Amino acid sequence: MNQNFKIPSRLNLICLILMAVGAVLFAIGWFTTIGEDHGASRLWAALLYNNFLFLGIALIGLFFAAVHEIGYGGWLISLKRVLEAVASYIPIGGILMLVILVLGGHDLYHHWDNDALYVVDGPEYDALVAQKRSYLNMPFFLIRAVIYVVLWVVFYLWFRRNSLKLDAAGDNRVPVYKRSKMISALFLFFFAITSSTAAWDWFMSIDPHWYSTLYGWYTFASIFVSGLCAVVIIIYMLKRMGYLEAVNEEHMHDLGKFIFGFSVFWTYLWFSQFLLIWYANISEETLYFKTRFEGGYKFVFFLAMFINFVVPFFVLLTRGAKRALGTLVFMSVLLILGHWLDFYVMTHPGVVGTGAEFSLFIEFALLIFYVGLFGFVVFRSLSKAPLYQLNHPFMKESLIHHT
Amino acid sequence: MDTVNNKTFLVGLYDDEETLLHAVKRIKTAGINISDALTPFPVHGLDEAMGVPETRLHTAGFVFGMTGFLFAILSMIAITTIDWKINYGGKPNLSLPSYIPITFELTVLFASVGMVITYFIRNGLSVFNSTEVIDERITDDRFALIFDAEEYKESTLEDIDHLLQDTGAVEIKVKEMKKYKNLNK
Repeated sequence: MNQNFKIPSRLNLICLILMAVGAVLFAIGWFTTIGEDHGASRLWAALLYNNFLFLGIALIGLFFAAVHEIGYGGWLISLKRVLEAVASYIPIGGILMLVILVLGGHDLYHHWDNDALYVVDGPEYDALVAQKRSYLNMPFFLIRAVIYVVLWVVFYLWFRRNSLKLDAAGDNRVPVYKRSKMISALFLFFFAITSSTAAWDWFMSIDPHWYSTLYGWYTFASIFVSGLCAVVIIIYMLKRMGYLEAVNEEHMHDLGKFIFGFSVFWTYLWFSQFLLIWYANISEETLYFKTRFEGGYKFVFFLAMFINFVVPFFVLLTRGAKRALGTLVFMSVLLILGHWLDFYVMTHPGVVGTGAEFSLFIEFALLIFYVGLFGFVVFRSLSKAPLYQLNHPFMKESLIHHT
Repeated sequence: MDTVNNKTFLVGLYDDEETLLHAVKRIKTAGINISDALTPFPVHGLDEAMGVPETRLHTAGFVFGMTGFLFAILSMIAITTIDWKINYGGKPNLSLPSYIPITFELTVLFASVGMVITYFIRNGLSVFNSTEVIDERITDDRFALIFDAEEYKESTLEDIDHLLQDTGAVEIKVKEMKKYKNLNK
């Protein structure tokens, strides 16, 4: 088994070119759009959801590894280093997130970050937003964001350090392995809370009148599917370069089942959120869907639904499709784009609200930039440690895994 | 009694699933067809080793599910728009979102119940069927390999007998059975 991954210089170059192209395109978009009405809002909204999609993918890398660590999930140990590499984007994504929230906070959250709303009997007084002021105010909002990011980064670094320690531990591996279980359990506890509250803070608060109690899980399902899709794509690239031969169709089959299952779970939450609001028909709640059913958003809204549910449901239903790497990779790319569209519909109507618009210089430029940045970070991390964690107690179970 | 229909089987009994798996692989490479394997619990990898074709039960499940889906959605459309129009919540009579939960439930119900019934019928496990038992301990701690004695010549049967002994069978016997459904065909 080839243990040491060396980044092919071409791959590194492609990542850097993608980053450069994306950055240049976005810079052009920035200077031509910033002066327009809603221009700043649109730019920051694009930054917010693009950044969060990739930060979410990275978080799912750590989440998936942690879940299997405490659940005695032996089958994925041969691809655990890929999950760790995906998670290695957490620090960069987290810091970028903080930068975006600090610099663009007012443009993004202008529906509640406005002192006039809180002047009792004032012309702009908003009783509903005033009620939520103790939670939705800029200082506390930023403090929470810092707490989330610090927690995630600390747990990533701790998990990774322990994972490398396990490699070096030799026969004395049991205490190190047990510690990784403890780290995973703690991370999952904090992630269960922070993944929900981060989704409320960063996305649900864009429409401060509206609320949905399952919004956090909805966002989690979105990033879970995207994260697994990213893992599949990275495994495919590694296999194309001649690495990771221990990961075979049995493992891909299991990943495919997760992608299929959680696509259905995402739809379940999507529909649960929609059905109750549709039935109850309370104006405060229906407003969220009303804005998304007009101004060109409707097409994108249902297109995301189609890509994220109908297509994977019928394509990935059969056993053969989940075991065919080509089909799975195609679906992974499509699903990441689908969830990218979904995040667009979650942010753009609330922040900008002028109708669906996609520009090569804003939304797509950032997608290109983040793909490059993400790839650069992930492959760098992969090259830093052995590709297999051979000293893991469950490594053999993964090698002989059979679905 | 009508003894013409009786079939003779050669039965090899094993006491461990690993031994059984190795035995199946060796017998298969010797070019001998195993009629069936009976185990007290599912043995991982036995299907592939035996060369059993993949089940078509999931296709049946899909068809049952689609039947349930169409039944639910069409009947609800017929009821709410043609047969018994009721205005609830000021919503149009044809409101697809409100049909989804029931459609989902009926899809699952049809698929699951249909699959269970199909499974029982295909395996000959329906209520009025009785099956002869090859060995009482195959529901406990014995793993049986069954060979259709009529498929082979006397000399091949002896070869099989030797192979069974070599691969660690704890007991070999010849069993006559009236009814036996061969799942491998």
